[in-house]
Amino acid sequence: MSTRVTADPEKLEKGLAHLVLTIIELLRQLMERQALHRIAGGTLTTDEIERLGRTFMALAERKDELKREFGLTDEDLNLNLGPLGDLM
Amino acid sequence: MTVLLYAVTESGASLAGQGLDGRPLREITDEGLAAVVSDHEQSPAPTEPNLWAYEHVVEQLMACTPVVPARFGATAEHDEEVHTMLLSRHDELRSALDRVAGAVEFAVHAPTVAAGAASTAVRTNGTASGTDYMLTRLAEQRRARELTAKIDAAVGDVVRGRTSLTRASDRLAYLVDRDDIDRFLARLITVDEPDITWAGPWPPYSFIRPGEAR
Repeated sequence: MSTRVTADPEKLEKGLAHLVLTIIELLRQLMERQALHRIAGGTLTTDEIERLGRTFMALAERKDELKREFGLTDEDLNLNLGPLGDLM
Repeated sequence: MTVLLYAVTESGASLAGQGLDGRPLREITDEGLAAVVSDHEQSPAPTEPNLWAYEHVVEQLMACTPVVPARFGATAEHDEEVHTMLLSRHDELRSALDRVAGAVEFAVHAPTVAAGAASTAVRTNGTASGTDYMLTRLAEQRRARELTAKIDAAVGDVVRGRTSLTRASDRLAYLVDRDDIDRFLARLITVDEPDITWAGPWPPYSFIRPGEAR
């Protein structure tokens, strides 16, 4: 209910990291879901699966590093959209 | 002064217990709805004891009247903000109260699936291929779906609603009529999966928005 804006630079930086990481995590989940769907459907070559797997592993590692750096957890990487529910 | 919100109820419901730090509970009413609040010098800190104390207050309220529970930390600077919230969200709060009346929430957790434990292990062992990782993720996803379907099949006809908690598909929340709690738990026990755990009854935190009781 409070509408005050916090102008603490450290909190702003963390807030921005939170938002950016949330969007990245949303995109990562959407891409991974699509990739898994295509693997299950047999429409990817073995090379493509390998390449996608390496990309998703690298993304997951980078995300973990950034989470640690900004003191965020997996549960933090979500947004409450009010009456629309959670983003993910 | 800070006004701490616990829940929204029907106006005129009797209020049981006290608020955080022993502060008296009071109602701010508008259009047949009541926000149950207590007054504090400043916003209570989100410490573990405070979170449990807050939960206890909401549970006491839930025991005597249907509630739409607030999340810890919902505060206002003065009553007028709460009146505005009650008026602007009146229809949403009213339908939420109707939806959860007489029901409680149970959280069901199957920690061995979907949490990505296997794929995380594959990813961090240093020698795994991209294919290993993707196939492990695929197996985790399938396992999560199977388990969810198994739990739903066991309890589906004795619950009023079901949703996933946040974005973790292995964390399910069920809305259960108070009269059906024993039946619900008896059915849950029949699911032959040793790692399933559950907690509740809780206030229906996960079912206060439209679309969550499905």
